Amino acid sequence: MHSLTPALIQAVETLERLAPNASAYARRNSGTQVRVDSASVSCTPLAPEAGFTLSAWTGDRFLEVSCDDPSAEAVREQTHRLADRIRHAQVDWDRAIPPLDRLQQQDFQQPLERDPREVLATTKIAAARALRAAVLAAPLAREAVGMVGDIHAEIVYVDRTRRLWQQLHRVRQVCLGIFSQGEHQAQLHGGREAIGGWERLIDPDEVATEVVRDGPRILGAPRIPDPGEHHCVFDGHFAGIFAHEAFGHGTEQDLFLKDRARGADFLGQRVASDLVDMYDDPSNGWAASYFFDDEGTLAAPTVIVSQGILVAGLNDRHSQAELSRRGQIVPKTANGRRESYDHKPYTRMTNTYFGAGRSTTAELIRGVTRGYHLTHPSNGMEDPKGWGIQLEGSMAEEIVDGRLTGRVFSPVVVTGSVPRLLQSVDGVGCDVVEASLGTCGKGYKEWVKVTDGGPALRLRAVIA
Amino acid sequence: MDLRLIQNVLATRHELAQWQVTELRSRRLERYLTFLQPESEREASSVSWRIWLAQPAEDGKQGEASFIVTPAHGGPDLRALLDQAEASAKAAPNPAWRLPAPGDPGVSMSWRGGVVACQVGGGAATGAQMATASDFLADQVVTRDPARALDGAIAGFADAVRAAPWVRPSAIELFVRIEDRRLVNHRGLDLSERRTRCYAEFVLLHRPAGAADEQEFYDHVEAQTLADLQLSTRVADAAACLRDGAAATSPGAGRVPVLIGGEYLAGLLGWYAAHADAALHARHIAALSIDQPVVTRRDGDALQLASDATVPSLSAYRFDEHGYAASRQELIVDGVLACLHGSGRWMQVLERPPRGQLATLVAPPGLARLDDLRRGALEVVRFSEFHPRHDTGSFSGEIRFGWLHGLDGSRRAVRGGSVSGTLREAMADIRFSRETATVGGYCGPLTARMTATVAT
Repeated sequence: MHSLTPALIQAVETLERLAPNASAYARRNSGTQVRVDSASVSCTPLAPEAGFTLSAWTGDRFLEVSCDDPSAEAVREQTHRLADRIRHAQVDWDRAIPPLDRLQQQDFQQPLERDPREVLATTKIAAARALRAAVLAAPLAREAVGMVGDIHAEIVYVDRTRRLWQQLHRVRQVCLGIFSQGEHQAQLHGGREAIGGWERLIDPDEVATEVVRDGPRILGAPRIPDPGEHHCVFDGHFAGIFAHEAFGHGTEQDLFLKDRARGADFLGQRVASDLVDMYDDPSNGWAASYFFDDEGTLAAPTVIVSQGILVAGLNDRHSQAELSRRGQIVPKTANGRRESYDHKPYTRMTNTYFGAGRSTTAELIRGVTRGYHLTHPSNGMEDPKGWGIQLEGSMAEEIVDGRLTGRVFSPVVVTGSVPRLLQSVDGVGCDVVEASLGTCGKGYKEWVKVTDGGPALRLRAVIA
Repeated sequence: MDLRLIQNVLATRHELAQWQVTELRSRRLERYLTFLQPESEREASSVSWRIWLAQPAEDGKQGEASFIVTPAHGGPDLRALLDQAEASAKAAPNPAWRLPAPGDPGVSMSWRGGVVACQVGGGAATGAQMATASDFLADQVVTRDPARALDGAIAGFADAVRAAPWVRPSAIELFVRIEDRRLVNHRGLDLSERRTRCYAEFVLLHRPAGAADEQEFYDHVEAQTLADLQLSTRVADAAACLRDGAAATSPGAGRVPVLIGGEYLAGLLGWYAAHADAALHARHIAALSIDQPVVTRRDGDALQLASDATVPSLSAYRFDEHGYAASRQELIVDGVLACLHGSGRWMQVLERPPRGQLATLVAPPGLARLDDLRRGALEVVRFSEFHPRHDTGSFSGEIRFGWLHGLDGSRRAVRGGSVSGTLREAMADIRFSRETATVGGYCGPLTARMTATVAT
């Protein structure tokens, strides 16, 4: 992709003779997914997804073309094609998007000690088999799936002031346990992703620990007997999905432009208990990190909530520029992301998490007379306009008089009002954990890699 | 790179016992509008070739591998990828099975139709060979002129919004995609089909009189044709929900009759189809057993489900991933799992005749009228998220918007709280509506009434 940069520069220069702003984005994904179960083995290269997008801002809309042939000839051809569309559009030169600052450093690479692309298929399959074997050691395990993967992306971004290139690498270990007894069946998955190469894989027994421990426990478990509002302790992973759905989506500022986020009216105001801090940070080294977003903005942390006050949102270039044009000056953040080279950029989260508090999880549980400890989150859904929320998980363990009783219920769903949940937080754990397997959609599409996380939280929530 | 080159290279690899190539050409046009003003207009075209190969079987096992080639690859890349795939295949022994040949039972007749030059301007798809526009899977309005078709749909959306002056349109995203798929294999199979996919999501806003905050209604839909999106109807329904639902309150807790319809009902019934998949049965992890009841009935309707690739929906096809022809398979008959669906691979492993992968999920209409089912029930119009868990069939969803119907035909809007339950309990007394709908890959009753737990 690096070699395509001169052609992309030429394209941007050509297009900026016709429109106030132009940019180019090229990406090539590669990697491998290995999967082993009782009936099949596969070691499959990921879909290559190589191509580029040329983008022009006419002053009132973006015109974009995407092409899956990352060659200089194709760039020239698509430049002419886009130029022709611009000539047929109305152009308002007074509504240019302000350019970004010029940069010294242009090339970035994540560390890679042992390149997984040079690891033999037999070695990768053996790693997945080991993960599967670790799960099958659990009682009542009927079937297990071991998956090992490596993902690589090479990205070029070009506009008037930036000619950026980055290489991103990460590895993944995922296991799925299927447990059964009599007519009951239950599934539980676990795993991790980490930036880097093959050297970042860890002991498969460690990856499978929670699946082996909790899979048999949720087998045949009933739903909670007393649905309604309860004192709950979320573990760090459950807190993470809460952060993501609450004021991750709730502060995406492309939704501000559409009057779709109530958070727009609450910047600077209290939305949570003063124990709550929340961040989005594509530069913290977690699995969704990068050096610059898909619009050339350098990665940096954003403090979203500080001591319960909503202090900032996340944005892409268009939403930040448009909000500024409307008189709402918001700092630029590095959250303009595309699902792939041929998708539109939106404001998207990266690594989103609650900040650490001072309590241990045991201390948080000791403070609950009657309630539940929620673990193994599976999915969630946001409602930035109505501030409703839905979080689902695989396990709720009963707490009575400050102690876990061992009685387990499954599955569990949390619903309610985001600020009400956040303002009820009365205890925050001291250990922040990364839930690294996440992906996130915008509505029901546009899937991008994210992580979330946090310390354990104690709060009141409606669960069923 | 083109299909002919790939076929020629594969034909020289005499160490391969089987191969298949699936060519996929796609053209996508997208429109994004905010407050009815254009925000972005996008075009994307792509072509890819998915190559699957297998080595000779030994002791009932064969090495398999697959990979994708794109225009970014050249001939030397293809040969290198084939070398890697063969190495992977050696390390990946799987139960042996065979790709079908023309004339094999259940295999689609070779159908190349007449071909026309692709009208994609520029990009990799220029000059592509595409199937004729007579294909039953494609929206002729879209294939003829996708940009004009999109403009027409947007105009229709704007008209529908104007017809409900109490709402304002926040955003709409409207996409069309034309896909041409061609399948060839080493046994001489050569099939192609053209299909279209249309997608819309929109948000309407409404500020009730005297209220401090606006409310929104989000909707999204995907269908084979622009007409099937039924945008005008959906906008009218959404506007009515916003107007009449301004004073929505909590529904009240307890075990109550609940109406679940559309995509949510399709998801519930889809759980049974998922567990009728030969791939799960081959692994002995399906929750259902062949020839055994899948539902313990009390007073409910008998469950009948079929997979039918000839019924138009997003899941219809002319031929499946290995070339088996569109057909109808009765999956669940009177509440009993009667047959499995699945790819040729897994059906052969189970020593069952392949009859095509899961297609349109078809259920017959129920006996009850929708208005009768509504009496005394909570009807959920929108969940935040709702689907059954794959393993247990448990389901949960936050109520984004719904109606609580009285016995006298009155109704009040509700919002908040959750509906939860298990399929085992819900299906025992389920009653399906006489009215039907096609939603995504489902064609069957518009809604169903069941008992579930509401928590607030």
